[in-house]
Amino acid sequence: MNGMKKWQKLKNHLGILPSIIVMLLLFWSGILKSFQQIFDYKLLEKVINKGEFLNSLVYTAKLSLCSIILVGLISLLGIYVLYLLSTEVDLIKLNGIKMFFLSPMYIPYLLGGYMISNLIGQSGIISTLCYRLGCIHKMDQFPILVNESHGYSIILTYGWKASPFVVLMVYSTMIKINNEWLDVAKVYGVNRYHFFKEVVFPIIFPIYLSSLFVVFAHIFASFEVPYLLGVTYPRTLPVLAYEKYARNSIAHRGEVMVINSIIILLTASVALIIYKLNRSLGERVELELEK
Amino acid sequence: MVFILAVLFPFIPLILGSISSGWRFGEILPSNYSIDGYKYVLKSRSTWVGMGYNLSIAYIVAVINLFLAIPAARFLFRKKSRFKGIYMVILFAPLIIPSLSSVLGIHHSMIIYGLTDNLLGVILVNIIPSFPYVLLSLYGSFKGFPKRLEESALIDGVSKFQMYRYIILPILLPGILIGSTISILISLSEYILTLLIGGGEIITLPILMFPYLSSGDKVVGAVYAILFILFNVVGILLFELGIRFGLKKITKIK
Repeated sequence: MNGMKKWQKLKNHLGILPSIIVMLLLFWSGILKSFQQIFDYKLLEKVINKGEFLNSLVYTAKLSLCSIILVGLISLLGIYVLYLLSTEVDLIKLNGIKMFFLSPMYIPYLLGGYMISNLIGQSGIISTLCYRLGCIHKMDQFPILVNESHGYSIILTYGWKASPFVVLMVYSTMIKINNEWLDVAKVYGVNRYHFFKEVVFPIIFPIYLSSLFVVFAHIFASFEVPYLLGVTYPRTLPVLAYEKYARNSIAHRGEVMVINSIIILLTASVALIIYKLNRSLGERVELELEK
Repeated sequence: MVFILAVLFPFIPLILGSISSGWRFGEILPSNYSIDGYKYVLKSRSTWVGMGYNLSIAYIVAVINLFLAIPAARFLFRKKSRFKGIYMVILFAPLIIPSLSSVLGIHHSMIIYGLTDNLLGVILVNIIPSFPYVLLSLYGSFKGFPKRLEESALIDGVSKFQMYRYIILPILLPGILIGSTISILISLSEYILTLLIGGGEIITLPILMFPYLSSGDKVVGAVYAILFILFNVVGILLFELGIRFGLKKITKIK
């Protein structure tokens, strides 16, 4: 009887077991393997005491922060434009415009980075335009914006590539807001800007914030764009880990694993923040929309 | 209008760059045009090998993802379990935690089990970043799917297999299409995992074009970029057609 029950239980879980096993074997075993080394105190101390690591950490944090500020601004502008349009055009047209806004999402990061470097590089388009307009007289008068240590091109790539994601996330909440509210507000002499600021924005704010955190974690851990557009020093943490590993995997393995586990810990804590934000603020939104 | 230009702007120089020859600094439009870049890229054998590998990896990964994710999404949506929270964490974690970190961790074991430098290993690591997205889109499409439909079918005495075939698959079609599209997009442009595990034996388009992109080669880089964008679009359309056709055969729905 007992065995029967157990079998029943297992049978219930049959749907999810294969994917759990695959994810445990492929993903979580790697995470745990990385974590084996962090308890090696000496190794941890060695990694942290190297200036290289701290520099990379600060650099990565700075890049991610600047990027999400840019993403925040661009996506807010996009959301505002979509909101203004949503009060004017019908849904089919709006969906078309939305698809257009989202188009950078479908371009791989690698190509996005390449396009941005073509745009703002020293021999790029903006430089050429400046030359034509007479702002500069030689190519090297144009500031170096690609493959330099501030990572301007990296930030710009993320601003262009990641903003649509935030717009997409916010849009699905925004269209739930009743247009009739605006009509009521108009009766009281409120214009669209004020309505957006006082009514729409507070409702979309939680989802806006949590998608910015998603973008932050994503940028923090991303590899391709900084690898393509960055310089050899300072490097972002994922690039540092990979290059150390690729150069001499046996000798640096311990160090790489420590760096790895620090990346994992940081992104996981961001994930925790997102979860908490979604839980507490998300409920409030639901309540407010139901009212 | 300004926004439209801002989004489209980066594409124009790509197209111009790919058909130029010797686009010198200071010229708004290139003064000489040629298709040498296309000739060079399309004549090289590795481009075609790369596209073949790229497409087969992406398709196989997408199919595996669907097979794993459909029952998993159904479980997460329908069944009650104490461990549901833990399952969610296990399955959705790669959305935030980078898969490169995990793959660096298991690389050593993969070498021991002979999973590096071959297609199988590359396919396995490509599952990691794409699976959560497939699960997410399928989970979403379960939302409009009444449980009563499944229950009444079970009362009528259909088998589990028949239920998947005639009820679940047709209703999930939109989720399956979105999920596989995302999966293919992710696998097609995966660079570092494929490079690390494929060890230079498995060549894909991103690996081929990376040196040209980073050196800022205007002609060949641009040709590869355009080729890659077209390749993405065609690859996804073909897969969607295949899925629609396959599901029609399986579910016998007109």
